[in-house]
Amino acid sequence: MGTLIKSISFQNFYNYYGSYEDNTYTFTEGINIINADNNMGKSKFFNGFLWILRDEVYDSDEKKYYPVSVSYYKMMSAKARHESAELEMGVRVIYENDGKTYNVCKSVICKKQDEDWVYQARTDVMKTEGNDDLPLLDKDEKLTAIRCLIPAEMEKYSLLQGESMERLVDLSTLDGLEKTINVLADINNLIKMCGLASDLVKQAKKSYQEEEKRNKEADDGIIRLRQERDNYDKWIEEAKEKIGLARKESVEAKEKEQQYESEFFSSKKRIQLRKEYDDECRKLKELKDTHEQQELSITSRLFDENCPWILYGLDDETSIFDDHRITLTKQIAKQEIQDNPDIMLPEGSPDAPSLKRMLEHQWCEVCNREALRGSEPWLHIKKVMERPKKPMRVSDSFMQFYGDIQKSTGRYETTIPNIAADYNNYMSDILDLEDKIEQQGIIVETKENELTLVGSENTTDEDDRRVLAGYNLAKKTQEEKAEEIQRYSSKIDLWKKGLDKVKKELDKRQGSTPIRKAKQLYEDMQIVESIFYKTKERIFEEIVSKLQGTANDMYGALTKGNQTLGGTLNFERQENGTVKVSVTNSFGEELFGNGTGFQRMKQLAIVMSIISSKVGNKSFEYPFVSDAPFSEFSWNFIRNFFDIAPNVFRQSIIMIKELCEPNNPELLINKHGEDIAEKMRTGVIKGTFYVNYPEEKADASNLVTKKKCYSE
Amino acid sequence: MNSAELKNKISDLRPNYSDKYRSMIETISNKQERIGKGNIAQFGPYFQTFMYACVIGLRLGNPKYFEPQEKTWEFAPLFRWKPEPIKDYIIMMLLNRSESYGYNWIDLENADEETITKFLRAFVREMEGYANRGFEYIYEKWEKERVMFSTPTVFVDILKDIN
Repeated sequence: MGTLIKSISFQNFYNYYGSYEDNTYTFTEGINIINADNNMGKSKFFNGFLWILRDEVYDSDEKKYYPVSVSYYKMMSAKARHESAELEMGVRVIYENDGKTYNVCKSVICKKQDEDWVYQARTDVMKTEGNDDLPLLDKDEKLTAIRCLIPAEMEKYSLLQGESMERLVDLSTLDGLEKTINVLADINNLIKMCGLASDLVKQAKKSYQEEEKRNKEADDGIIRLRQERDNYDKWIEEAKEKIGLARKESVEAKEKEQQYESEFFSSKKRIQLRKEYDDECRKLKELKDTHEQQELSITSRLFDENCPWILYGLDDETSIFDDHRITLTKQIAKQEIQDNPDIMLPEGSPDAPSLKRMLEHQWCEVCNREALRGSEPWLHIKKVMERPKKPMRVSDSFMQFYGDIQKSTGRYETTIPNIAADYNNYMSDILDLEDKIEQQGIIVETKENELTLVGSENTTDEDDRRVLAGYNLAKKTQEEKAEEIQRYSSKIDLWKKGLDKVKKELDKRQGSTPIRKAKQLYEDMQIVESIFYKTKERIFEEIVSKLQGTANDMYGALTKGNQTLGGTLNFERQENGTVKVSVTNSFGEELFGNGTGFQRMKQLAIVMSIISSKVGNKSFEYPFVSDAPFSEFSWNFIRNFFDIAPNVFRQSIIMIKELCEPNNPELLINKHGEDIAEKMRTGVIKGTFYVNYPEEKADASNLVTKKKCYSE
Repeated sequence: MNSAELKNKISDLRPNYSDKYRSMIETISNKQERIGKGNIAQFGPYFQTFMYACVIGLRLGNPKYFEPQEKTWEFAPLFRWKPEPIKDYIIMMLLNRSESYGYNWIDLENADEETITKFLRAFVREMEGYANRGFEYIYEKWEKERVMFSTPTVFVDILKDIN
């Protein structure tokens, strides 16, 4: 029994360009490594197996599985597609199982018609037994043959993808646990026997009750006791049903919780990050608004009444104006004196009668000389006598107007020299704001990137809130159901006491032989049922206990030499019958926060423990095919895996990139890879070692992968 | 004529601007758009554009008077110009230069109506000449360095660039 994959070949499949012969990888027992850097065909290689087994491929971009029928275009080698309008694409796997060799080939003829491609798919299976080659034509026969490669129920242990490893083995659902236990111990018959025993109990009970009815000697007291007993039975039965239902609902809630759990932390993170992102965006907007307002205010600053920038560089105008005013004042005064020199005569000057007399006598008494009528001295005396009595007032000139102008503009004498500094401060504020906006922009961008990293592009806030609500509801339901189970269990205990009492009383009062016999049968059947259930429970307990032990051995071996301790795997039976696997520290406290590497290692340890715990088999019967199982592991983990894997898996096919030499593309493998290759060449490690490399540099859609074998 | 009457006469003056700058003035004076949002920076009402151009002309010196027959448009009368102190500052600067257009302040004292009317005509011509010089300067930048008008600081930068 068991399967050994001999080879896998690709033709024009993704970047495996060319014929099957060009792209054949032959395998042996032991570890078969396909080492390939990013984009060098690891997942595509894995997709070859998925196509053969499930008619599916995994889309790494979208992290989803798609039926091949909708993926042919993507699956075609881009180079082949460009070269020809008709090509054949396919995958061929040759494997041995139970002395027979199977050659399974799934292929598609791809033809370009106008702008569209049309596809014609086929599956060829050849079975070889001894020297007889037998092509299988029947669809079911083909399926059966393909399933010999890896049976469906084994896929979860045999076909592993790194990205989905966290949810690999699920012991926390009744279904998952039962399937796992079945894989290990094949207790299907026992489960059937449990069901059968329960049916027998029901039948025996029915017979017992019918026998009681046939008995005519029963008095009212007996009838009342029977009624009481039946009531207790009925209540207990109903309570058990309710407990069963509550358990079922609790398990369903647990499953829901787990469905949401993988999303819960990222949803919670996304909600938190979205809030932070919104806050940062708001801050950015506020800064931009302030900046805009600042900029908008720049022209209003030109005409600001207190410090108008428009007057920049016009410092001297007010003092020039003041000079003009002073000059004008002086000029007005001078002109007044010239025009009206005698308005105010000096002390001792002649008074008006004296002047009148001088004019009449034509004699100047001041100069004491003649002043004939009409002569210059006479006219001067006349002018002095007739001078205006009131002086001209300054307010009649434009001085008031100039004064008003000076008053209005005077404030700028001190502010104009400050305009340059005011402007510099303003610009400095703008630049500060721009710096802040830039920094805030970086913060927003960082938050945006963080959001993208947690998958915000594919989910809305509503989706995430739904996940949180779903998760919380599932948790709450579990708590409620646990309380319900507890409540009904207490009632059952109470009712059982009442039932025992009634039964004893009834036994005393009804003693006919047929009734006693029927009762005995009923009780015997109950014992039988109990034995089966206890056996099943014991097997469960033993297996879980054994799994825990082996898983811890594996976990210890895988994490050996690691700088931090990964803790202990603890398998705990739950109230609802499932098993919770937790990691605990030396004090028995649950450990949280182990990195993804540890989480995957935990899963790998459980898988390996299940495989190596299989009852009646020394080694696992099926190949272990895994894509990038170590993508989060340190080299220490990987080396440990290579040490342990041959003891657990008869054959493993591992696609990894950890043995690539990233710093020197000429060297295809690093020193760890060299060590492994050397061990394979010298037979220390059984297996094969292939390295994929690009034929020439090209973008991802046009890559052609070549291979080199290091184990020969 | 007394101070109050002269003030009123000056307030009623309506300077003109050349038709060739009309389009630019309309673009940069449109009050509806917001600075930094559109392609061109803008500010306030037309009279502020005129005040701005006048100050630039005064900074540059050498008023550029309208050519004979040059098509011109009237601005709002000075009494509408705001802010008042800035308007007064411009009046003050023009009064500071009155000698250059033929008037000493003392000549205006107790001058007859005709003299004052002539003075006011010369005053507004001078104002228009400086503003026209300023518009010419802005227009040259408008034509050659339009891109600078997309920055909100353009009007301050122009002022700062004048030595």
